[in-house]
Amino acid sequence: MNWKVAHGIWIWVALIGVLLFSALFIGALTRLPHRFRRPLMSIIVFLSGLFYALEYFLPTHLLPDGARGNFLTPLIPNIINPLAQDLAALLFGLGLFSLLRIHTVNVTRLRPGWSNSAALLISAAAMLVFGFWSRANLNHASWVDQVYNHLFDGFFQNMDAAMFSLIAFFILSAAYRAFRIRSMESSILMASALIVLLGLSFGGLITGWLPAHGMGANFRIETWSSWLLNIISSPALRAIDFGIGLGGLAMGLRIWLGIEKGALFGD
Amino acid sequence: MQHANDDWFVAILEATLCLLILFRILTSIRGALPFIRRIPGLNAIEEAIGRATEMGRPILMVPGILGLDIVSLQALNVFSYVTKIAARFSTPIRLCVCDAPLYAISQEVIQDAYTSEGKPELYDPDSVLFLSDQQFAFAASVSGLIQREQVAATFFLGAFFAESLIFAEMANSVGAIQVAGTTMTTQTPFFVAACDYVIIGDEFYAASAYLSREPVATGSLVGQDYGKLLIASFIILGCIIFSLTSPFSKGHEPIIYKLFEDGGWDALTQSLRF
Repeated sequence: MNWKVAHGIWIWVALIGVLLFSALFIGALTRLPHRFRRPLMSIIVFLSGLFYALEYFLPTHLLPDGARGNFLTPLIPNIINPLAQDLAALLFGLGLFSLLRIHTVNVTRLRPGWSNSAALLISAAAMLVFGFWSRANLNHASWVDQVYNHLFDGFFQNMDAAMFSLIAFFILSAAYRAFRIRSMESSILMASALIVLLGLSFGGLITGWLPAHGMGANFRIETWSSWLLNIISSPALRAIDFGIGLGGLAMGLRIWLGIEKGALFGD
Repeated sequence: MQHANDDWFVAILEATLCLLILFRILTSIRGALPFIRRIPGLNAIEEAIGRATEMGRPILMVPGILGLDIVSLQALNVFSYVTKIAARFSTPIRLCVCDAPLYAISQEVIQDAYTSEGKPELYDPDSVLFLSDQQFAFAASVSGLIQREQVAATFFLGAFFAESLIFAEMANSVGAIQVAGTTMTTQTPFFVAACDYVIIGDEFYAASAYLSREPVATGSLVGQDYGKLLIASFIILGCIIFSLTSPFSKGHEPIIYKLFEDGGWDALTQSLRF
């Protein structure tokens, strides 16, 4: 399906039309009586799921763009993905509104920790202004780009990295607690961890004199380490992954067929 | 995009698994309710809420850092249960989300939980927080909230990545009782090391059935077990076929070929002798 790009006044007409339609549609949905919400949601979910099931199971042929697919495949990039992006953008606005409302109230009422809220509001406003200004296709001064780059690369990226680097310290404290020998399980955990750590680091120095092939290789720490990782750990992780995959499949099936009970789908 | 005719074996296997699950759901609805073993992580939910109630401090819940999907919906199922119990004792809650669509749904779920317990006035819209959609900005916000509010119990259920250990260690530093579970197997060891109770693997999806004992959920759980049996039998079959069709050692023919030669069994027993 080929979408035509609107020009001139039609951009504004389309924009206002979409906003009006969205407002009316959302207004109608919020006024819908509670007892109709679940059936409506079930129908929408079933139709959405049915689309993907058909798209997967129907036979495929070569499409004009060179990819393989069936008559439903082009609808995914042309209609479904843009719709999903629009919906996500709309809901992001809702999240942003909530964030700003909470922190504005914190600042105006001088609640404990209001200075943090003020920092968040100022940072958000600065990023918003300079981000849009820098990206807008205007003849702006180069200092706008510099300020934006300082904010993004100088502040945001570094703070992100600082937060990430905290993990190194947390790994140490968590490992200290986990590896204390208090029971049979923690002893096995400790011994396994020691072998794997040695195998990946100084194992070669300790048992490197043993032959690399034949019976003697079985006594090298690197061999024990790779045995633990490949024979014990990997299959266990794969088994857990199978369980998780099947759990996801079962839940997806229940939601698709409208038989799921629970928080979102009614008790 | 993947399609069924790219790999019919996978498509048939998926369809078979779906049929197995549906079959067990139907038999469960008809009254054949299965037994579900004890899951310590899920048993600990009430203990954690009780502790938060005694201490008069809030309960923190985080449904992972991915968007609206099966995993976060399952986490919300558990959080709805937690909120209902918390509502009975008027224990404050905080639900921090990292995704805007999930935020909208979380608000609805938490409000419904209070309403279903007959305490709609206890619902505080500010208890459901959209903090950031950036991974480490979210991690920093949740860590700050844990420290400021000195939460007494935490529930980390969902899809977590590198921030899992930051959350767990931060909550541990304020003495919170922690229940965690993730579908990301790479993060499970971090939770095991840092949290009091961990829900491992498909126990995460068993939570609905375990907490509600509702026929559809319990039937589906047994259907999953049938699926696991099917996959395990494929693995065993694969091992046998691979062993028979692989050369026993370098320069030798696969064992299976020997069987079809004249005097195959004799040759086979000969080849197995060292």
